[in-house]
Amino acid sequence: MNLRTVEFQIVETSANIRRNGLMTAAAVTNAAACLFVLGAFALALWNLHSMTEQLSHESRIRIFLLKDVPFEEAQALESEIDTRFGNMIEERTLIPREQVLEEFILKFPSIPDAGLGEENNPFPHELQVKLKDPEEWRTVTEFARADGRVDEVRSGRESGLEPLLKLRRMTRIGGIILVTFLGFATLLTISNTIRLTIYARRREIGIMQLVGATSRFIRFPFLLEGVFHGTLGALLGGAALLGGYTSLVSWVAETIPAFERWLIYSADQLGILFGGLIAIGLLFGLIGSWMSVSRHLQSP
Amino acid sequence: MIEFDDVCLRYPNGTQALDHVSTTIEKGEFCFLVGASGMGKSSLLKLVYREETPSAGRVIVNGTDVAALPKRHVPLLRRRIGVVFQDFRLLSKKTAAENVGYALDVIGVPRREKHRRVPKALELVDLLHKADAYPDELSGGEQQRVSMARALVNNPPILLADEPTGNLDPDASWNIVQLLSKINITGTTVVVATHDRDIVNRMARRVVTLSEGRIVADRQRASYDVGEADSPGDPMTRREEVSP
Repeated sequence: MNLRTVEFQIVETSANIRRNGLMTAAAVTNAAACLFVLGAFALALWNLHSMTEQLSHESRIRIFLLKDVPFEEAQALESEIDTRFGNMIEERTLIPREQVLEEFILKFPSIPDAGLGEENNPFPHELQVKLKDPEEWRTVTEFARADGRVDEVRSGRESGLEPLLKLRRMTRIGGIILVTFLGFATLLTISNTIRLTIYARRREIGIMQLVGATSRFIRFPFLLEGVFHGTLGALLGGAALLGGYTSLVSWVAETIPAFERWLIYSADQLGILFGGLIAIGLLFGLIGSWMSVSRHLQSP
Repeated sequence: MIEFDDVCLRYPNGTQALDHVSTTIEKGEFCFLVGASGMGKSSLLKLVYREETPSAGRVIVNGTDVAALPKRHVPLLRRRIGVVFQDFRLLSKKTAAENVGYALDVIGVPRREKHRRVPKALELVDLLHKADAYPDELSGGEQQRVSMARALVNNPPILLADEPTGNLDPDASWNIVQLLSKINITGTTVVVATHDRDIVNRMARRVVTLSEGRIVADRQRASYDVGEADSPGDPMTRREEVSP
């Protein structure tokens, strides 16, 4: 394709966009709506995934030692765990039974002390372990349970970590499936709308074929238009989505401040989402128009 | 120039449009294809510019078997053939000059060359003064002349016209056929599918008569009702195979 042809194609494409204003508006609005829905689902799933990710990372394995185990032995167990699983551990804390009692009394001041004190302390020493990958909880738990100094280990099912990990896996796999499915639906919807704009101009395509235009020449302006529809739709849909989302985050911050920390809000993350939507809009516009115009180019 | 060699055309719905058609149209010839609607005139033309491919037989255009032409070469074939239709097929949002120039734009002709050729083509059809008019500002005859200018702007050696006078009054029809004749004098092979009896009779050129997908008559300097004197009955249904 020479420079003159490219120039002609660009001029024709912009003229077609202007002339077919209503169809252009329909295609752009449709792309915007589809990409808004796709983006909203992706954002909701991303938030849910991030929430489960944070929660599972914050969960700790709690190892309660037998009441008669001295603090030195608890320290010995801590260093054994550290030696064996050090590379898997993000953080560990050994809480002496005196501190556990103190915290209990502070937490429940209304409960009469009932003689609770150094001599009458019902709590054992407690070792809390936070893993880099929460999925590894079974390994550490099984090791601790087998130790004779340990009375009880709470993790996984007992501490609610297992269902959380399940939810995290589900949001990861389900999210990919759902977003792929929605993405496919979006592609078909955008492609169908572009097909309508092409159908409205099938006469023009027929004339182009008649006077000897190559398929590549005929296809090119439609691809440009598809890219325009998809990208502009993504810009509008993405802007509406981010506008709405930032308002929602502000509302959450004011109404339920504790919940704010779970939400995705950094400029980087929202930038990735916006950029992703624009890339999808551009790509879907291109693929959609390619699919649609190819149907009209079928000839013997 | 154009040779149909035992050509059959059956559409996917089962309609047999052409049934063992063989004929040759020589370079620089002016030929009418006549016959009632649905007898295969348009199908025959479609085979020449590869809108359709034959179910059997060969269509040779300028020595090339059109049916065997790779798909990517079809546009090159069409650049060597001008086609005019009953419904003009003009782009309503482009002026007469833009419609004619469009045929050059799509094949990448340089702008300077385009600006030289478009007025020439419009002058040939006597419409230079309406270069800036849009199709809906032109009469039917004028629109058909724009369509002819577009078909001719590439200087094709072959011009096909499918019912070019179908939507025109008798005067406008006669003007169009006169114009086709003028184009033919310059050496262009002209094939006109029509059922306009008056035009065919007045022109007295070669007439190929089709009926039910077969050539039933083929005469030089003939009239629409050629062969009528030979045997009674409807000439459109008479089975009179004639060698070209």
